[in-house]
Amino acid sequence: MQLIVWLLRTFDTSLSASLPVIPGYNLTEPTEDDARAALQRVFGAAMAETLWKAACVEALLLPGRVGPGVPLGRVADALAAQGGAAAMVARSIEIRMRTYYRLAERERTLAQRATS
Amino acid sequence: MSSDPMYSAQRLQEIADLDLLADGIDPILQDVAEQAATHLGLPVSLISVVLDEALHVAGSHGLNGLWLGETGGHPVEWSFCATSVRTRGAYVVENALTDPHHKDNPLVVQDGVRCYAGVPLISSRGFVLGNLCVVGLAERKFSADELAYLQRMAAQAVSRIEERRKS
Repeated sequence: MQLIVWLLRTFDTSLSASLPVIPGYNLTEPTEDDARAALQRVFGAAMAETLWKAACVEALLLPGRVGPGVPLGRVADALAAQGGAAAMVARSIEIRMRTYYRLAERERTLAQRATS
Repeated sequence: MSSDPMYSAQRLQEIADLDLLADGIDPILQDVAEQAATHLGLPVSLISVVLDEALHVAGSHGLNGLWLGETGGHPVEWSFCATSVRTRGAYVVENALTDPHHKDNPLVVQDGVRCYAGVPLISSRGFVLGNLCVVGLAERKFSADELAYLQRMAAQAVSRIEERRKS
């Protein structure tokens, strides 16, 4: 399933800012900066920028202004569609997003149980 | 660009060429994971694919009901399997609570992982793709025979993966 579809079906990602770090996991919400840094480690700065800009164009978003959650998921899906090693970086971004939102949801559920 | 094999574009391209992220990649890999867990008497076994920033689960046994079963992977900094990408050898943690590299790992502290044994999946082109590993919730020693068994099963998994390239 595409990341963007999974995010929209599974979580209210607008609530994520209320949980900047998942307790016990030291995991922060993935951002555009994280994704661009990951691409640079694999491809170098110039190639990473080319790949990121192409994915942003495909996702109809502006490079440098991609918000976390659904917008980042759209760009990750576009990056995955480029195939090859770029798609592997996209899958890494996707897994980090899935993990963050899944654990954030669990934390929220536990907190709601504790207060009810 | 980094010289660390974790971030090698060639290694990631090899993983892409072998189509290792495909959904339901191959029931045989699932069988390999199940056989490994059963043979060693441990609750969890994975065929992992180590990416640049995350571990992707290509085949597994024992993840039902766990968050890892839903996400299909986790951040690479929590990964025991990533070690083999750099060392190209087997990696064993008998007691994660006292292991200097993993005693603070969230998978240990929060999720209860206590022991681990993994062997690398190395393609015919020489790239470490990931690991066949087993995971337990109690401290445990692993014998040379058990590691040899995992090596044989890993070779079987790689053989199956490479057949996909030929077909």
